[in-house]
Amino acid sequence: MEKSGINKAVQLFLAFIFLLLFWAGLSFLLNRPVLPPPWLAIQTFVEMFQSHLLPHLLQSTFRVLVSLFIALFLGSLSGLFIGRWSRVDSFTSPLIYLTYPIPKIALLPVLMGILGIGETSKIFLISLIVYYQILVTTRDAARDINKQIICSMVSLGGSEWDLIKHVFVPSALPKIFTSLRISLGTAMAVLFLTETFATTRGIGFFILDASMRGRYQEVFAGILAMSLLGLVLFIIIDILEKKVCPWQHI
Amino acid sequence: MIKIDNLAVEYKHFNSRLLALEGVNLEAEKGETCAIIGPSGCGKTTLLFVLAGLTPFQQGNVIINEEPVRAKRKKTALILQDFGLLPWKNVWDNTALGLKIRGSRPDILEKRVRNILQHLELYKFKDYFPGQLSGGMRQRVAIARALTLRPDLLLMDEPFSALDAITREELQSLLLTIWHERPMTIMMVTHSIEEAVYLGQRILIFSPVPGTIVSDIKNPYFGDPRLRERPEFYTLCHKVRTLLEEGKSNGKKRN
Repeated sequence: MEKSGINKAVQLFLAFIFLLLFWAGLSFLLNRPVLPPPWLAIQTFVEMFQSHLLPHLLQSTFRVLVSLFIALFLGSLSGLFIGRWSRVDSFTSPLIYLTYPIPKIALLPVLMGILGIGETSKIFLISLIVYYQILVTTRDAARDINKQIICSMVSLGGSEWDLIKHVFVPSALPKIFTSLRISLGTAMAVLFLTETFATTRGIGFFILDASMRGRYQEVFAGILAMSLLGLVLFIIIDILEKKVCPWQHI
Repeated sequence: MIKIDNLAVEYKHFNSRLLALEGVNLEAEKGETCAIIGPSGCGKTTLLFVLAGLTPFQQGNVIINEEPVRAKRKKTALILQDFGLLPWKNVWDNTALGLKIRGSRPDILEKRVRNILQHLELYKFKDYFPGQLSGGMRQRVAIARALTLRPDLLLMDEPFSALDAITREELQSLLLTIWHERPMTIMMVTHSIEEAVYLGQRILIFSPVPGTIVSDIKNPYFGDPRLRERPEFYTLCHKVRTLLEEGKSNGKKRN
């Protein structure tokens, strides 16, 4: 591991210790079962991981990954398309402007009515919310391309396809990764909410079920599992960004 | 090589119109270098973009090598003020881009890019991204990229204006060396009188907008690498400055 990698790992570890201490302090001050100390939550997490948590975690991972892939694919594709061609932009921008602020999470009961209570409605909702964030970022990135770069590409003989391949896609990539990082937080929050509706699998359900039964150590074991999932995805996005956009890290 | 007859270019922006160029006439021989100088916003860059086939014109004729001007002419290369390099491609890929786009054979591409990078002392930086290079080196890469296309017409829009004085002079000399090795027609827009006198066989002075050529000075001292040390250099610079100021005041009267 490089020196910067070690530094980063040490910083992460220190931040983790700080958060645990903060949690322990808060739990000690509150002194109520609703906020158990971290060691009890961690103990429950370890005990329940294989037998109870893992199947729920795998189900949640499947939902969030599929949703992110769909949103990433459709969002970046339509964002590039809209940002590149001003005619499409002038038609779609008012539509995006009007529909972006709609609290799409409120559509969950309607979506379940239309798409059923299975995976489709959950994945659709998470994808839809993340899609908007990626679409807007990619569209803006495609709009902001330096005109001199386009002139220089055209003068080199570049076709529209060359522009997309050599200019628009690579220039939007760092912004797509940024929006993916931001969207990940949103996706995890929406995931939790969708899993509290009409399902018996997923970390969201596990947390809600434990809370209904007043087993707060299990609630926090579930929260730890969900946070771990978010952290792993975050790290994967970071590694991918460094591989795909090396010019951003020079 | 270049023949421009009564060229006019008008820009439309919503309801307003701006006549950028009017009545531009020019003939340039093959292998001639022309420095274009004039006040800001007088249409110099527009003329360059017309020659690159990037800006349409409403009136006149523009002929390059007996053919009407068009975009993507294979032997025209354009170098811009902010280099036009792609930040996400390294030096090698940026240099090879033109050849790659034009579907050059991989062995030819490889050989030509390597030769040019070695010639311009960039080969050891081939894996660097533009963000890791100084301004002078970035402009060298832009020159390398243009040269891979073996152009007969090189269009340059204030190519050295963003560089410090020493680097600017180094690159001006490099351009002269390249031109001596492989003469090509060069049309270079500049704001620097010294640069125009050092690099232009002809110095074309533009009027304020709508731009037109008000003076066409033949430069007998062109090509002398020690020109900057000669008194004639300063005399010619003074002459160009006077003509520029006259052009400006005539333009004000005209407007």
